[in-house]
Amino acid sequence: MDPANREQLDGFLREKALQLFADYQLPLAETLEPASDAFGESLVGVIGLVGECITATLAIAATQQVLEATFPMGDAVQPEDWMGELANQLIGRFKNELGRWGLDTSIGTPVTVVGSRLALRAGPDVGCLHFDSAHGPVHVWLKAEEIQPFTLVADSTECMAEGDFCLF
Amino acid sequence: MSKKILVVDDSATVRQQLRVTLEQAGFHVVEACDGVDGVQKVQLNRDLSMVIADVNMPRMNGLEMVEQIRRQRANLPIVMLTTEGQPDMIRRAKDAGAKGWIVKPFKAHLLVAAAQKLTAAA
Repeated sequence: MDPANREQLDGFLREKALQLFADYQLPLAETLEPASDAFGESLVGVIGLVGECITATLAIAATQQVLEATFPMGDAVQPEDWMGELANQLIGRFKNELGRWGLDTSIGTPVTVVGSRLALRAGPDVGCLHFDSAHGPVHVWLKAEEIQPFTLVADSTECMAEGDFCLF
Repeated sequence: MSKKILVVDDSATVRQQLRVTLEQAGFHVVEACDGVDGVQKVQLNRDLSMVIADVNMPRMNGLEMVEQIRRQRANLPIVMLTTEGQPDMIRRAKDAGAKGWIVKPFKAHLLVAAAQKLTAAA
C-alpha cells in the first residue's frame, strides 16, 4: 500500500479510537509500543471491512476492567458481547471516515476472542496503535491491503456523525 | 397500558442498554437478535408500537428486515440504530420504509423523545 495512504488510514483509526472511548467516558492516551505484544487475560474484538479498493481487518484488545469502565451499565456488562460491539462501533466510525474521503466500504459482524497472553504480531500490512487508560491498556491493530490503487480525496458529501439522530 | 417496542440488534449489550433506557421511560420492550428473529417477533406481537433496529446483522440485515416488516405492518414505525452514517445507506432505509436513523452511540433523551413521538402517532 502507498505509505501515504497507510499513514492516513492509521491517522483515521487513531482519531476514531480516541473519540470512541471518549464517548464512553474513558479517555485514552497513546503510548509507545509496549515491551511485549502479549498481555494478560484479555478480550479481542475482530471485524472485517471490504470495498472496491481496500480490504481490512480490525482487532481491538482490552481487559475486562476497561470494558466495565466503558459500558454504560458498568459491571452488568457481558464482556465478550461488549468487546464485539466496541469493535463494531470503531470500524463503523472508520468506515464513515473512509466515506468522507471517497472510499465506499462494507463491514462484517464482529467476533470476540478471549484468553491469556494473546498477541497479534506486527507485519508489513499491519498498523498497531497502543493506548493507556485509567483502567488499563487498549490495543488496536489494522491489517489493510490495497485491492486497487486509490487516492484519498476529501468528499463534500455530508455524513451523519456519531450520536446524530433524524426522523424522516 | 405501556406501549410495546421491539429492539433488534445482534449485540446483547446494545439490546440491554435499549431495554433499560426504554423501560425507565415506561415502555414495554421485546428483543430480537437479528433480522429473521425481528420479523418473527413482529408476527407474534401484533400490539407493537415501534421497532428500533440495527442494520448490520447476521442472517438478515436491518434493511431487508424493514422491507419484510412493511409487507405485514405498513404503518409500524421503524427507526434504525447503527454505526452507519452515509447518505446512500440512509436513503435506502428511507426508501425501504424506515422512519428514522440514529448513529451509535445513542443519546438516551433523544431516543426516548423519538419513541414517545412515534408511538403516540401509531
